[in-house]
Amino acid sequence: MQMRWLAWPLAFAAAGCSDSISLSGGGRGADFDEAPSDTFAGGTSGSGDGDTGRLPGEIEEPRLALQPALTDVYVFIAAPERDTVTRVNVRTLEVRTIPVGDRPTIVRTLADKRRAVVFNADDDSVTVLDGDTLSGETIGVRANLNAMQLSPDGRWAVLWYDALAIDDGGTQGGGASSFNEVSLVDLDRQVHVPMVVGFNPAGITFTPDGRTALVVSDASLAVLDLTSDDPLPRVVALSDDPLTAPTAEEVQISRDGTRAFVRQRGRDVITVVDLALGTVDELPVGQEPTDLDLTPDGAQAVVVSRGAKELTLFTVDDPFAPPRIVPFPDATPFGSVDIGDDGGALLFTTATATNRYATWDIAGDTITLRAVVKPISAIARTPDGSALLVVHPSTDAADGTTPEPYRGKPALSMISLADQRANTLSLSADVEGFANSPDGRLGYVILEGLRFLEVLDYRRLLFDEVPLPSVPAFLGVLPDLDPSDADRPAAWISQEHPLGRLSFWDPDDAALRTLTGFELNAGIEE
Amino acid sequence: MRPLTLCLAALTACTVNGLPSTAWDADAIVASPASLLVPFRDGRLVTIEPAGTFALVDQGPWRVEWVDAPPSGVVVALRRFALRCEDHDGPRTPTTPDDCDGDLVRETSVRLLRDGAEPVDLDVDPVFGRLSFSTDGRWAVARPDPNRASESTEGFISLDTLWVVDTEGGTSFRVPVGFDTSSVRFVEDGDGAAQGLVALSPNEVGFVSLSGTAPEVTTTYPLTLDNDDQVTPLSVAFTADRSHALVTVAGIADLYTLDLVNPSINLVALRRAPSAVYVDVVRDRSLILYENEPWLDVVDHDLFTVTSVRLGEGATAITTAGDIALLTNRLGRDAVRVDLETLDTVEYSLKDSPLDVWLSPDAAFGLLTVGTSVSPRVQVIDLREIDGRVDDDVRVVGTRGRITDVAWSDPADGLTARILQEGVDQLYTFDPQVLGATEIELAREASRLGRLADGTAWIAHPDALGLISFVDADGAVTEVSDFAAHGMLDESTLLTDEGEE
Repeated sequence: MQMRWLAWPLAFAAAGCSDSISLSGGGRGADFDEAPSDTFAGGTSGSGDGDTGRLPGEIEEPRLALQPALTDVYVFIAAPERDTVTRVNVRTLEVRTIPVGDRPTIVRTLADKRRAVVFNADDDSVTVLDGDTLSGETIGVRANLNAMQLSPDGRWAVLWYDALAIDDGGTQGGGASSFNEVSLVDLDRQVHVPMVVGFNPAGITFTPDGRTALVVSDASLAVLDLTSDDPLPRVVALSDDPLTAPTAEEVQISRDGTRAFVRQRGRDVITVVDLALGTVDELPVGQEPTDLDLTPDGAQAVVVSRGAKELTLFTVDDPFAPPRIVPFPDATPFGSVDIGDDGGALLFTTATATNRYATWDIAGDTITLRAVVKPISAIARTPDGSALLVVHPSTDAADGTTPEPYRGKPALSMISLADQRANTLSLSADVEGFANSPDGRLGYVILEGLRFLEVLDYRRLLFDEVPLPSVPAFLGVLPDLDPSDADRPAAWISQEHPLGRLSFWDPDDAALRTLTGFELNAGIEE
Repeated sequence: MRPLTLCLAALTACTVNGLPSTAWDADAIVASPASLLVPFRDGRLVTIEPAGTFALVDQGPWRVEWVDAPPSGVVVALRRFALRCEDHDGPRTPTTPDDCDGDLVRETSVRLLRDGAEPVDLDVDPVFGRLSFSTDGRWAVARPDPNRASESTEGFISLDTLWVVDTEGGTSFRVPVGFDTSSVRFVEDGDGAAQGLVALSPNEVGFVSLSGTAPEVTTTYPLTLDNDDQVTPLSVAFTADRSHALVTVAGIADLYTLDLVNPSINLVALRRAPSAVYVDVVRDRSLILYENEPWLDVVDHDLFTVTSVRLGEGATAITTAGDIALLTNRLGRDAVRVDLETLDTVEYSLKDSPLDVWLSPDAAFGLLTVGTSVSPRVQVIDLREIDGRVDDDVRVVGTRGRITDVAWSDPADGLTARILQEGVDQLYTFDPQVLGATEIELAREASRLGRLADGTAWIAHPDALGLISFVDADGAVTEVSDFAAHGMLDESTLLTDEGEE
């Protein structure tokens, strides 16, 4: 299932078997995809350089830590305060809880869906769990780390210190702390390779073939050859002056893995890195680039320049060839682009109180403006591309056109892309997170502080409200084990509860099944 | 060892005829399949036959404290004690209060009686209380009673230990479980054979396996992970396949479901702390009531999902017969008939809040008594569904005294209810269809009503010298009297540890 989440980065387990997102938390300028993708996720980024007069950024940070992880059979949930991980069999709802290391803050599942990897923050280790037997191996890593990402092929885990993450890291060691270190863990051989990269690593991405990892820091890109028995970083400087280097906010890697395109905050260029040669070049673009994406075929890199109000399209294989420039149809400062598999794209902004978005036919260069009732905080295209889910903030349109029922309140819109019919729902609270079913027929939304699951029917553009036993925290959709059958996978919703709570909503029988108190399993004595 | 005070107990208990009994207690009577066992406060034991005979059981130096038996009566456990004097004349049984210059030692045992088998005597520490039996009578268990800790023969007695008895093997075991166990329930298969038992203790639940060579705790389930919490389990029930234990907890709006096969815990969120839980074994689901929430919640035992049925008011009790449940509220005026198959409800508007509810075994009628003796009466409801309709009328019948006990007849013999009333020396045979009753004269008012296996009713009367009436199916009454005096004077002194003479 391919989903496109605009304005919010993907925030899910490496197994990539579901789409989910949570909107709380916050504040990092750039964010990095954990999905098996060749790109950093998210449309645009940027923290809003108020001192330069630029508009604020268009992204929010999800709560990555504590988010459950899935395989096709199990959900894994970490309990930092209990030093345990709970495994739920989604077919039988059988629950098992096992002790891991001290304060497990992150759990992810590998692409093979047979293992889970747990980061234990307080004893600086990762535990690799067999999904079926729950037997585990623990590998030590460097101290003072708080972020972990797995390679798409599941062989590697990369851990680093994210300075803007909610969790401030594990043990701080004695009197010294480093902000330049990365732990690379070979999960197959259970070997730890510590290394130093650039200052303040912000994220990791992998080439599509999984042979190379890129560690993005403020002023440099560290290239790791994962085919080596002893990978050492090859650092490529993105700026001549590391002390004043702008923050790298977004990276895209060409499909053949030979080039990286880097968008840096506050620079009106795209930096092109030849990953084989380590050379760096710059591609001029319009003022204030806020988004960088590749077309689905990987042939073109698309840059949204919000200040210049134009789109720049580079040929990935020949980036220095003259680019194609597409101006916006009016003065709307679109800052984000979402490109669908069908070659259609959406343009929108989350940075201004603009109640418009645009559909863009890339091949035909046709951009059509569309109106919504309120400004946009996020847009998601359904997996089948038939509809849009648009999330609106409580802020009203700057031009005063927001209709009365929606003024001052958050809202969400379901929009049919076939005929532009829309159903906009006024909300009592901001959207906390959403997910879509793999077939694109249903969407699921949770709201901040409210005990409800909103079930969206994208075909009819109608919704139902399912009461939850407690306040939701994360949600997602289970994998569809057999897309050919009539059974639709359930949505899962983790919720706030001192002893742990997870609900499953089955759309086939409209039944909510809840597991509560699985943290108690850690105390069972046998 | 502590010396015990010798006293003359029997004479003070039984010398004044006509006063409420103190020598024997109707509540202590145990019905074995065909007779009654009546223990006396002074330790004698009498068996009484419905034919009108009784016999004093020769126990040598032993005195019976109480009698326990499973409903089937296949085994009877006599909890006994004996006093032994250890003085210059050597260990012996004292005969008078002044007959022991040394230490008076109390020995405690349980004698197991089975038809056709030799009695088995098991030593037991006095700290352990009454025995609870598995349905088939194979296993029994007793909890320690902290109030009896001073009677222990041991310097230190663990209050987190159960005393488990294999009545067939004639052996007993001490099994450590949680401290201050408040309740123990056997986990039984469809034939009533116990596979294990569940012990409820503050903050934890223990599962004791009975399938090994000796009972042992195989799993302990925490009810909280915070030791500062005090989570008090109230009751436990089991799913039809006995794979899960359902535990209610004081003041907590969760139903703890403990997986006994693959040990794990799930909490089913309820509206609030339930007032009553009933496990419908046939349909393998639980019915949950709340005192102040007008809902009946039904928890299926497959995925533990909850479906709800709206009620007119909260309810506090579930009484069942066949496929019918009657929901009542001790402070309310509604009674709700629930078809356990369809969950369809019929509401009855009562005239008075019900105190006790008796449903006929065929779920045709219900009798609901009123909790006052000022204006005693019984409310009769017809639970039958006739031509797809249930009559929701409530009929009220006045009574001479507050109804204290009801025993239904076998519906195959014509449905009637034998009813005792407080302070009334008559047994009524009540026909709920015509709201009429016939009377059977009794020697005096009754204190307890029961039935033997053959359907014969027995009635205990508050008579100091002992009076029990047996009433057969035809209403013929056979009285057995003065059994409490039998043997009393054979031993001029009896030893107790009550501290009084």
